[in-house]
Amino acid sequence: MHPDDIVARFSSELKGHFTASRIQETAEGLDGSKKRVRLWLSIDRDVFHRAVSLLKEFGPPHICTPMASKEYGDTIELIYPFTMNYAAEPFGELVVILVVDIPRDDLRIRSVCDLVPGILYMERETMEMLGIIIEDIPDPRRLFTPDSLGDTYPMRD
Amino acid sequence: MDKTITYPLQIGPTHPAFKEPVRFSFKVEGERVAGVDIDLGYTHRAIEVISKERNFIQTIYLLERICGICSVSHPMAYCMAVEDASGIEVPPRARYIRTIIGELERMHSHLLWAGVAAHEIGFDTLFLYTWNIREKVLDCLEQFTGNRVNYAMLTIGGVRRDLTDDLIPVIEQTLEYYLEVYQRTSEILLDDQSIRYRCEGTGILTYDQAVALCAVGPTARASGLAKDVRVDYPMLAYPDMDWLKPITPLDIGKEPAGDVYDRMVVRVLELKQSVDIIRFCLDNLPEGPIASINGSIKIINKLKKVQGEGIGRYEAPRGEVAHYDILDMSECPVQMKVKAPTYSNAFAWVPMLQGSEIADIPIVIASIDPCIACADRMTILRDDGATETLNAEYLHSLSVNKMKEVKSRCSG
Repeated sequence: MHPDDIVARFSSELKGHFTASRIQETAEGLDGSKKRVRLWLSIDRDVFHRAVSLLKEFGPPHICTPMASKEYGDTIELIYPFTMNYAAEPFGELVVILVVDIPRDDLRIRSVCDLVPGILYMERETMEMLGIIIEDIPDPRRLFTPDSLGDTYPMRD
Repeated sequence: MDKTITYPLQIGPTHPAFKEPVRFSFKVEGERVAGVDIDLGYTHRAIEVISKERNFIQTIYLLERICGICSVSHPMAYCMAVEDASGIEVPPRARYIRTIIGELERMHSHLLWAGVAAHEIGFDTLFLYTWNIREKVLDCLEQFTGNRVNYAMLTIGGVRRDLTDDLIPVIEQTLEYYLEVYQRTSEILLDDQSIRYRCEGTGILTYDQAVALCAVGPTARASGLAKDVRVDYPMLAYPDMDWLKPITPLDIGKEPAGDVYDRMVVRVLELKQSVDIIRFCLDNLPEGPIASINGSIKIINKLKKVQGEGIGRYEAPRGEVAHYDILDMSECPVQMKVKAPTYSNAFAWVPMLQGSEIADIPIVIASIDPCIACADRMTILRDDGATETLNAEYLHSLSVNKMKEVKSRCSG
């Protein structure tokens, strides 16, 4: 699996909703022959679910960490770190990071639990820590924080 | 007339196996689990938020305390994430030293797990045996780093202490010791009939479930999902080991069933694998510096001029640890997301526990080697609203009694 293949697929399918990509490669090992590859893909919120289903065409995505976030003026950037091509070829795993901008006055994004069931806990954490509503999530309960926390979102700036 | 009554069964927030709180709500039909819900958060310490007010060096020691057992795994992933974001190089010798510490930690973690699992099924002789032989690797780590856990060995861009010539024989003797006891240990853990009766066919996680639920570590590998960050994702000294491959039950010629027994198989074989990895590192230890930047102040000064983000991943004894760090011209990480292996594997408890006997709940829960802890009571809420509180000894005694039955069947 080559990152360029994913970029090409996103580019042809998502067109204007696929806004940027960046590939970072680092040589590893004493002889530098192994490559550690990370791929960042920025997409519009409206096509996020479609983007994960495109990713799934290349193999089952593994969610690697809970979603990170960055806050700008009118938007919150939500960062989904997936890995692909694991348990396939030695040292061939690819980190694919999907970056989605969410407007601050409409903090919603669609759940991808139907595509990656293992992401449920992380979506629940995103709701309680950032106050972003995950639409169609099969279990919207809080994961770590008590109900008494109300509308306080600990990971927001 | 046969009438099956379904009733809810609460275990936790403190539960019978481990020292961290988590609550399991079971729906039970007779002696069988018909449904399970897991309630986390009783021990959330807000470490990700606290790190925003600690500088990059202080954060290393904060993260070391996420988990006492795999206390080098979180700093490892964190340092790699910061190095990824900032482009700081790690000298080859430091990569090898990091690998050695990580593998020594894996050995003591797997032996700790074997003891806990033995205790959960009422096999306390084995519990004492495994914890006794575990002392050797803890002694080695203490001599190497100064501590049995929380080694304070890592820094951004390398390690803090060198592996000196006088320490190499200490590590070699430790490896020799484990090769001597490995045969006996693996025979007891893998061939004992009573253990096989208790663990085979118990707590099954299929391959498809492991993939869908994003399971990690020995839990995933026991289900045949050969996922191991050390082999999948090049980092530390592992890319130099072309012979390295993920351990699955296929390594003993067994088709993976994804049960408790297979999780034991993977961990037992990984003990030997860790010995081989450390041997390789000692034999091929590169010369040179152990850090690319000397001094905490210089590291912080460099990092506070960096804007970027990075990911760090490491295969902890329990599975993948991953950190995502964001740097933004500050001497503290502006955001850090941490994923411990139990976070990934906790969801896998649901299919594992579905259909289990109540007496098997402790060993199934323990089988993923969770980072949550010891309990003192469980409460049964019956349909009529009556509440019955049972203590830890009672649940443990269920498991012990089942083991006695199994042993009598084995000897009969």
